[in-house]
Amino acid sequence: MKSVEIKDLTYSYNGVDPILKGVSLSLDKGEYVSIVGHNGSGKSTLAKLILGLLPFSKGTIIVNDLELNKKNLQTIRNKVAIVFQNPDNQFIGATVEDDIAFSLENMNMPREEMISKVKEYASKVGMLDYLTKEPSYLSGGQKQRVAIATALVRNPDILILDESTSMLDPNGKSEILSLVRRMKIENPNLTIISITHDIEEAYNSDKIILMHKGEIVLTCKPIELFKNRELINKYNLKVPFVVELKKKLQELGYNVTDKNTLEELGEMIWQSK
Amino acid sequence: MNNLTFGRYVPFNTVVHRLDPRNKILMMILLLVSIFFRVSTWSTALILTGFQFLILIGIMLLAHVSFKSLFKSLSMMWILILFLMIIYIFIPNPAYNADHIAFHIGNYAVNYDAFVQAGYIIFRLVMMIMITMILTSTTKPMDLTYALEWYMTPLKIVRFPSHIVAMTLSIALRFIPTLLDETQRIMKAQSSRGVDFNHGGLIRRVRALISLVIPLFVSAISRSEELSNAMEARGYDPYGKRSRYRILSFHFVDLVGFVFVVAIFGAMLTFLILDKKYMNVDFIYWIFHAKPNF
Repeated sequence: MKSVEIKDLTYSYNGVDPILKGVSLSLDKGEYVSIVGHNGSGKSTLAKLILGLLPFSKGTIIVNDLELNKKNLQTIRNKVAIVFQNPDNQFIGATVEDDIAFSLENMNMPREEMISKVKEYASKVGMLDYLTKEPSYLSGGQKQRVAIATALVRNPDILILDESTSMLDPNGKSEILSLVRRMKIENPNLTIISITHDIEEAYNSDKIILMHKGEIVLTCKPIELFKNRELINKYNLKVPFVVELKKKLQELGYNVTDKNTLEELGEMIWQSK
Repeated sequence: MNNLTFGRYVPFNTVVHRLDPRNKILMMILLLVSIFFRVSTWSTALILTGFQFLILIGIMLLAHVSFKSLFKSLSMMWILILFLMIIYIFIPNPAYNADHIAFHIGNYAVNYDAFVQAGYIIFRLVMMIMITMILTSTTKPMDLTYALEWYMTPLKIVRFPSHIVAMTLSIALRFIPTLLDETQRIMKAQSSRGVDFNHGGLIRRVRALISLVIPLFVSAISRSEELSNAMEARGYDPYGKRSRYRILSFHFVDLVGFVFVVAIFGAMLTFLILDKKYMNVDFIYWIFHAKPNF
């Protein structure tokens, strides 16, 4: 079953120069997809369009077999959740519990159910001890964890991470990424679209979509992309550590073509003479 | 920035903190009104206000409201006090007793009554500040907005969007600390570029302030856009049906507090009504004049 299908989507903020030029893509249910590309390539715009936050005139977006239009807007929004970049600007409630409850209030959930859900999801993201804390007492990573809770508490089919880790310190970053991975294991049907500059994260996803100047250049498995030196140089991408290591080993004359993770390479290194 | 400490919420777990915010607002209004009841004789007025003052001191002690921050806020009031003094001294009032002349400024006679009058007004203003301080330092701003929303619900009949107003208010409150941080950051950034916020004449300072205000507004607007996106993405529909996470509840303590305040209010009201005709509690007059004149 397809989770998101986009056909020939064109969008422009000012009506003159388009930021998206005929984008088409299709994502399967439960996929972890990374969208990479430089600033201004239209990644974030694409995310906002999927949520129906921007009005578009050309192209179609189909989420969960429903076409995105005025009638289906609220239904689709209930199935798509997003975590934005700036932790401060998406914290709506006065305290952690109010913020998580805000999502539920919008769904018109009865209060008793809300109380248990707030507790459940706060503990899932490890913020149970901070329920009554105000955002000014939380670190960026903690705020982002709350943001993930507020997104997941609505039980979405699709989770979009719009550069969610880019304003965090390395600790906060790895915290959020491991949290997302854990959530993915808990709910394998969750489709995750991660818009990211973090090449390590992209390397660990199921699929990479490379965008450049409003067009999708490439959709493939991460390993395929990083095999292609020409593309990497052309779009000035960083190379993940594993790929770099593989290349170095290859230059030293080792046969590493079928080894793609750090563990496999490690095995090989300590076993070699 | 330090001025903002006045009346800021201080988390304690006292009876006053636990009261229903709706009840607290109502009680505050009753107390405020009762302070401004005016009785005819000075001594009666003094006794009644003194009585209220003691009650307020008692509530402040009960609610752990800091007297230090009260004095701090009073120290900001001295301009007002000076202003009131000047007004009362230099505006002639036929009601003043012509015998009570304190001193002359040129040909103008300054009456003792003017000082008493001004002092009385200032005293009541201080009590007003005490009451609002008790309210704001024992009630979370969010609870206040919920209470205001509750009071605005009858307006729904005339299609007044009270829940939207409450949401706007609560978001404004939520973003005050964030914007203060932002202000500090922009100030530092501009200072490092050579803007001087602390020295120079008025015009220079205002100019310096512009370099703070404009970036602050720009960032606030872009923030609000992101915020509205986040709210919409989380399914917020201002006109849709929403359930409530926070529920205000009226407990027995609230009833006790309310009865207490109504009793004070009622007592003051009785004095006000009966004052002239029947109840001359002019104790001080009796004490100082051997022969009472009634």
